[in-house]
Amino acid sequence: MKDPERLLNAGATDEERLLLSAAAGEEPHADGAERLRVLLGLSGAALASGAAVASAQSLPPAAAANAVLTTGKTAAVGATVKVAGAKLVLPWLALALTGAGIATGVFVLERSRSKPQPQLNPRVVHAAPVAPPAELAPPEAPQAHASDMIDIEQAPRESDGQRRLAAKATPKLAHSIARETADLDAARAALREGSAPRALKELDRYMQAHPRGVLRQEASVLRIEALLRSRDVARGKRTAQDFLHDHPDSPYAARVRTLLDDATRPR
Amino acid sequence: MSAPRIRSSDEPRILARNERLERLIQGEYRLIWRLLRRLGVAAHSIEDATQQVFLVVAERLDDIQLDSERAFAFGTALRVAQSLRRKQGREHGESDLDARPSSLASTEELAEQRRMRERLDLILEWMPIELRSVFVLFEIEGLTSPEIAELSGAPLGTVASRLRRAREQFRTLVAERAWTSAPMRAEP
Repeated sequence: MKDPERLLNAGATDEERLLLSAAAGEEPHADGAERLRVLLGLSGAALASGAAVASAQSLPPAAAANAVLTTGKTAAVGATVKVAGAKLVLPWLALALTGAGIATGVFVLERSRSKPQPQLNPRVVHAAPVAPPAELAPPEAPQAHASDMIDIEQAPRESDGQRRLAAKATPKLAHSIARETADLDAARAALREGSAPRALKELDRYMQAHPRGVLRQEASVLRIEALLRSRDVARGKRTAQDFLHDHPDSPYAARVRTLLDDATRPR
Repeated sequence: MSAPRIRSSDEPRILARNERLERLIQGEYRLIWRLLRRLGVAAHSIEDATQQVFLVVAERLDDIQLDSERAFAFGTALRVAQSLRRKQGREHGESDLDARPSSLASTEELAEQRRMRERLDLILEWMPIELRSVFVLFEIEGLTSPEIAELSGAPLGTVASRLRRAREQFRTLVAERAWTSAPMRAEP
């Protein structure tokens, strides 16, 4: 399956090009990655022997700094280490880094002295969450989805909150897209269940509710698919050909061509 | 409380872990930062958000298969973005001070770029996050569909479908000047 041309390379309107180019031009500060390394204990200043870092918190800051700077062994800073069966967690890292914080800041600033750099933000360097919030638990293994080359893809669902908001008196577009997506979901569900007539009814409902809908091209493609699956194959083919004539550059054009090819292939 | 000493026998494993983290930062810090930005994380929170992603990865590194760090970071970035957006609410006219322009542009050009980015972000707000992330990764970050499929764990066909829908939504929203009517965020 070949990727389409990117909008910036071909086919973008002037306005689209301006918007996409503006995003392409935004970059993180060069120091951001270095601050992250310090936080994780990967930068040169934080690499120290386990003994030096472990004792850092019991020494005066200057002595702790010297211990960090002068030692050459790699430490467990930034990593979780199983010691005597217990896990060494990030709070310890935060304590150790705080104890050696002055040295860390000086070391990093010294390294970057040759070029102008914004001052390190101590809050960022020292900030080490005890544990990631529960809501940031690692993602579950992605569920396998059937390829949608033939089957209908399960559409991403709007949140309940978005649907509630869409039902209120909000600006026209705020109401429209959330409702449109929900209405098209009903048509998709019908097709998934093998009921082309019900899908067509849902699509009629969609057109009545959203005569100038943002997602009308998508609705057209679903209608083509429903027609081709129903007894009205001839009408499905005509609708597909009309779609390709009216929207030759549509992102859906390739999909409609595939549907047409499949419908005209001898069984 | 005295911190435990690190045994020398642990050092090779620690070195290996640090190498994995370093490779990930070198390869993906910029992408994660830019992805979070286009997923709606406010400019003043973006560095903290990026750090959060990598801290989660570091915390769970032992559980992540070799060479799956990138996909894990991507999934974590989506969750971090969703979590932060719920908390931060809509903010207008935020500063770009945590970002730097990629070229030596004049003050007016910088202001214009900032305006365009704000409009783009308002448009992207309309898209469900699954479409938005595919659109950003393909159209702005230049990843291919197979790369996006590998990152997200979605089948290639699903990625292609989401990209089609996202492109259609984007183009329609631009045509309708959707930045003039921003969507309301769902209440947490």
